Amino acid sequence: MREFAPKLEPAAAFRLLGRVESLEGFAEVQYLTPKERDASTPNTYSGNFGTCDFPLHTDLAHWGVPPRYLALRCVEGNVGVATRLLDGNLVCNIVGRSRLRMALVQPRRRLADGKHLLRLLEKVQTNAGERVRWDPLFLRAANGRAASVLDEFRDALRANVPADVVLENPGDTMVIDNYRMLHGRSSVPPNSMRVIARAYLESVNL
Amino acid sequence: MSSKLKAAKTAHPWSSDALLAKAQRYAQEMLSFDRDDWQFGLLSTFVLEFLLRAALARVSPTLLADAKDWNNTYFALGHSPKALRFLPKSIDTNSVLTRLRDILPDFTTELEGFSAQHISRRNEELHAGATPFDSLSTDWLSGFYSTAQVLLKSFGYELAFLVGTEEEEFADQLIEASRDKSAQAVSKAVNAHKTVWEAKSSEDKTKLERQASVWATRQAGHRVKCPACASDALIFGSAVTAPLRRLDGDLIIETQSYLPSKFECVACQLKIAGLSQLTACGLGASYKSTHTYDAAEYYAPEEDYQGYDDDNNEP
Repeated sequence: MREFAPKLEPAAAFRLLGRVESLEGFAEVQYLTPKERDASTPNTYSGNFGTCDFPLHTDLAHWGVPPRYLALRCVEGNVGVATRLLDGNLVCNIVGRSRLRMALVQPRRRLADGKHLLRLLEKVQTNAGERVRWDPLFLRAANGRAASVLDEFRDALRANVPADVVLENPGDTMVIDNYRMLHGRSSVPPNSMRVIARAYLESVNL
Repeated sequence: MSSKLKAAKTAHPWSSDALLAKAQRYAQEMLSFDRDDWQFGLLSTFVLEFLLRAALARVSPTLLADAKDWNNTYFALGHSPKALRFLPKSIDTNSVLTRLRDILPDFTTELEGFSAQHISRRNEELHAGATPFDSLSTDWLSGFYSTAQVLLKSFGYELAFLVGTEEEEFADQLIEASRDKSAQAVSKAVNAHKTVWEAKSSEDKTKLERQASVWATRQAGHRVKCPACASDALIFGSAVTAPLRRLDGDLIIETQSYLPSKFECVACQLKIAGLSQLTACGLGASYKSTHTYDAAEYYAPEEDYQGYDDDNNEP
């Protein structure tokens, strides 16, 4: 949505889009800015990838129940930086949905009381759809099947070209279905800035 | 507006998702052994236990809570009990089986029986010096896979979700073969009883037919003709739907659908147990039970010893 409700603060704009979700450890609206690897911590994408490309992923894929939607809104644009989007269905169909349902993964670190078992593709009981989860950094294979499926997933990602969307002007806003779409970020040109507001949504009004 | 789903760092340990994932993990471990290996058998019991609990948790994790302490229910609802040294306690496997039998129409008493037996093997393996899986042939596999199939179906999954397509194909063949074997065994039993029946004198037959008719009228059960001697016989089963009540004047009429689990004929003494065996001889169709009560009778306390013959002084 180009220049969606441009006069509104991100929090108010997000509330127009849907029900904003409060997540443990997160502010309701987070402001994302590019950081050099050294300036960040290893528990973040910036701490691992710096201003280089962020790989395609779904947000909080290592959580038991990841957030349903994420909304991104331009606060300060940068024409040289794109948000990359790829339909998870394309990848699932290449790897094979039944194989993905059998592939068990775990968070790379203990989360709350342990490392729970998660599936790369699983049914969501509330709306009978399926949820894909993918994170090349925060997820690890938990069974023999998953190890090879993770490799195939990476191959399938390489075989598909994501769509680039640039949030160029303040107010440009996108809502991503985090259960279906993978997203990433292109590299950030040196000495340039970009500020994106992000919120997680339980549901959308669209 | 789209449906809402709350994000959470971890899935509830009694959630069906978490339990299903555990079943998948153990299933893969199980398949790394030969099917006649004792470790395959032992691991299959873990798979079964997680599947059973997952199927119940799909309805609600609160069904897994041990009701002796309300904190367990509170925990199942996703809260953190404040009780000191609290360790969540879930119900035992037998209670899980009983609940599933009533909740899942396809989870027949036959599958319930198999599950109870298989879990008891696991208990014997873990709690005693005996080695029940060492001396076990692979006959149990068809029961195991049939049970897993029914439990997974309640989630909308195929058996391949648990064991992959290759093992699923093998399991399908095994289940089919087991059905054939059942059908042959039943047919043999029916023919044997028929032969014995035909050898009886017509006087004996008449007397036995009359007794069977009286018995079938007085006992609770679904009346059918015996496939061996054609006398009145009874089918017993378990309810697969909640009772439907309607008022007809002053009377309350209650109907309920049942799936057969047992057949008995007192005339020729033929007895058949298990839905698959009953299906093999044409007695497997579901039936409807209808009871008519007046209001006083309906709300009266249940009679002691219901379902038994009248009291008598036989030794």
